[in-house]
Amino acid sequence: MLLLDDITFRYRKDFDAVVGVTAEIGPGLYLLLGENGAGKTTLLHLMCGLLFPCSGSVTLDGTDIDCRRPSSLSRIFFMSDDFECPFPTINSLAAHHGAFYPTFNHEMLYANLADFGLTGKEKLRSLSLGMRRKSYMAYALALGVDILLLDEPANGMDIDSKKVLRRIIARCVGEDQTLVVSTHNIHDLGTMFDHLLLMKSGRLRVAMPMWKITGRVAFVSSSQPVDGAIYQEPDAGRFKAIVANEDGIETDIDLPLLYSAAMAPVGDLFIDFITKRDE
Amino acid sequence: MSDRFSSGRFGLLWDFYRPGILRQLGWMAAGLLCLYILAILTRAANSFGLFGLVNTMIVLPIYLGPLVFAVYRDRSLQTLLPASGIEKALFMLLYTVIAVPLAEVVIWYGIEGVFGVFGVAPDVLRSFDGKIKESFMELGIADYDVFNPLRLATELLPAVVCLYVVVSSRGQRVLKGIGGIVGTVVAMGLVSGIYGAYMGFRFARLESDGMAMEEAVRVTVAEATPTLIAVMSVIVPLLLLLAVAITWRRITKVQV
Repeated sequence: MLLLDDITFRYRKDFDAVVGVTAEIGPGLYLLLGENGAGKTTLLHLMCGLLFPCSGSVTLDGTDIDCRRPSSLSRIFFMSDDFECPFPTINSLAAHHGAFYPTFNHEMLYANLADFGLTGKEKLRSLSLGMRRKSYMAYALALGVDILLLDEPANGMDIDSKKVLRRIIARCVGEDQTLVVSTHNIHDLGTMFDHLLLMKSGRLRVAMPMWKITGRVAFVSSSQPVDGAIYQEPDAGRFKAIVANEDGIETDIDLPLLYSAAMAPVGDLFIDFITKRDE
Repeated sequence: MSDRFSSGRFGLLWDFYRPGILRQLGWMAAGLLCLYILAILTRAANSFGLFGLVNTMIVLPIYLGPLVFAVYRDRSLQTLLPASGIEKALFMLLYTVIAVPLAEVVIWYGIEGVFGVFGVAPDVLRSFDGKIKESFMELGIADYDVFNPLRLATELLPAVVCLYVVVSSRGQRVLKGIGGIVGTVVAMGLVSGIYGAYMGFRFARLESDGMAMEEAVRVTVAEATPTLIAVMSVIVPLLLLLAVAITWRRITKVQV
């Protein structure tokens, strides 16, 4: 369990990148959303120990992450959106880096690469951005770490590759593992996530399982504007709306609509409603 | 996994950095070979100045050793390697202050040995140091030892500063590392320059007291140089120890 306890981080005296973030990150698939500059990457850096909070603490099963103990580091892996492999091929990355991780699975790596149509022998420098990201994702998912943090994992990938990535994630990430994906493109990986983390202006405004969200609100589509909608927007001649789920009927979560609602001028009211902060 | 110091994990660090290190050693060997050939060509001219240039360039591989850690561009990957801070710091510092100088000595004398087989052995380092010793003895400084802590610390200090800069910098790590080397060398030169100014004042005073110019030069250098060497032999190694301590802390606590 990764525990974020009231963490704050500032790059300069006049700029708080992350403010008062508290959350319990247990096993599951987490989607980390937020606008540009919201603090998503900073939060990921704090979660894996690349940055140390100015106040508060980040602990992994009771151990401070910023101690950077080998026993903690071997359970976490972070892949940035601009990750550059220091080795010429994925096979050499696996050979020189994978040995640090006791849970690294070579067979899984080759299966992941094969799904992407790769062998691991390709010279990374000669690959396109999308092909390199596929290679890196195949490797990251084969490490088998308890906590995997990915920043824009589908960057540069085509539509089919994103489908493959979803399949690989479903295969590689076990029930006792944690995957946190930060992305601007909500459509990238579909609705495979079971938890939502929403950052807004440095604050973690939403940290809850998807089932709780759909328990509180319903996502509907109508040809007419929806009366009493908490939020709605026109979409290709119809209206997509978020309404209070008074009947307890679960609907499929519409992440783009939810994100738009959270970022709208009434976003704070919407967020308070789904997190029930005003009760 | 144990958090205690692990020789196995230390070995994994070597394995992680090995491709870059071997590449660097290859370039070092090629560079030293070129330098050696240059030494052979200048030996015939018996030029002290050219020997000085060769001797200055010989130390460059030591300065540039830490740049191998800058080539591994993704700092998050290095920082989050599952090894303890002690293991990482020890590896980087041992490589910088021991492995690289040792490798250079081995490569240099290996080249000398190969050339010696063919009867060509200019023994550049020893002949250059011999000339320095001759010059010092002419000035009345008989105790100058070319292999002293000052010389060793003077060669290692820029390398440790380079390592600090490489570990600390977010981008352009190679350029900034070289900048750290240049800055350190310039700073050490400035200190010598300040002492040189003092020697200039001393010389002027002796000359104004009626001493002949040549005698004044000899007296000034003979009196001031041992003191300079003695003082620097204490200060520079202390600065080196301080640099090592600061760099150690930076390696273990760097934020990316």
